[in-house]
Amino acid sequence: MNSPLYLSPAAKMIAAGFLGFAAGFIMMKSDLIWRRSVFGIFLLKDGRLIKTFLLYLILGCIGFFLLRRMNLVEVHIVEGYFWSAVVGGVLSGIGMVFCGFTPATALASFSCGRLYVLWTLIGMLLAVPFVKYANSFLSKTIYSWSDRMLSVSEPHNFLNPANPGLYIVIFSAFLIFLVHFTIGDKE
Amino acid sequence: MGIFNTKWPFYFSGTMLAFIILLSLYILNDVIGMGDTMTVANEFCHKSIDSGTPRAVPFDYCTIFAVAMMFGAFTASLFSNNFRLQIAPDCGGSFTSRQFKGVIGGLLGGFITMLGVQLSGESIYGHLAGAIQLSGNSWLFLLSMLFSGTLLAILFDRKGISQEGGDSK
Repeated sequence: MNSPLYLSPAAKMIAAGFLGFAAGFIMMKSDLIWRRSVFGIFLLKDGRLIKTFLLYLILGCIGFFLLRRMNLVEVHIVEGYFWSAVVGGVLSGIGMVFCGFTPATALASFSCGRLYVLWTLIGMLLAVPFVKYANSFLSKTIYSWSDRMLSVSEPHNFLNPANPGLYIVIFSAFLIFLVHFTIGDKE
Repeated sequence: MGIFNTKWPFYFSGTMLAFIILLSLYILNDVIGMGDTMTVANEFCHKSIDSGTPRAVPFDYCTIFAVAMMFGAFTASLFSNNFRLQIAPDCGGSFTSRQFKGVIGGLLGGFITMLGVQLSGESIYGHLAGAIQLSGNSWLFLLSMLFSGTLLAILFDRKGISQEGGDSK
């Protein structure tokens, strides 16, 4: 029977090592870890990176659908709250304009010798206890403004008009062509 | 060797990115985000400071993923001759001014970014994995992030506040 690999804890650690190495290598070779890349995407200047993410969405949506149909993967999503996702997204966007990194790209960039990223990592570490201490306040506000969002139902056919993934693929493919013929690959 | 020392085109980068995230879902049966790693690192620092002596690093597979990711990026930078020790970002101005921007922008930006990540319950890497699983939470987060980031970056750009740069690829 097809299923995800249910590895033992030790095997999972070894696998995580290989996957982490590959992820770091891919992120660096794709130019995703630089401060400049964030601004290239936000200012719509770097067509190559925008197309990378759009292609990722296309292949990821199709790939996940196929693997899910074969029972090789399970759904792993955080069923968050509407307002926490919106406020969290807005804050992360603002933060990324100031520092130019996400947690993953900050670690990867630091390991490539960009020592000034240490300040970003310290800032990130300081935010963790802050949220912990503000938890009771957040529970009364952002987390209580909306109900927990449920995941979408999984269609049996990818081409089913009720499948949101179909629209994501079509729209992303359209955007790739648009970006290719407008922004191009060069910054 | 071309694949190791040249810049990857978008079709290869996008394919590899999708491949590694789907492979993680298959092999680890989980999405690894850096939010968990930061929480573990924070608790490690907190306990070490409280006890006055460094404690053993808590090794779970999230921590190993993060450490291995750093090695992967380091190896790739060596292949592409892109490893360079830099203590201030290349964002124009004198060394002191760049250093100041690096410290203030880094601390403030890092704090706000992680605040957003913690509020939404998943890291940005995790939200990218959530997006292909059609998670409404992840799509809302990513679209809000893109909207606010683009708006602020354009405003900064129009005001001539040089936030661009930081490193040469």
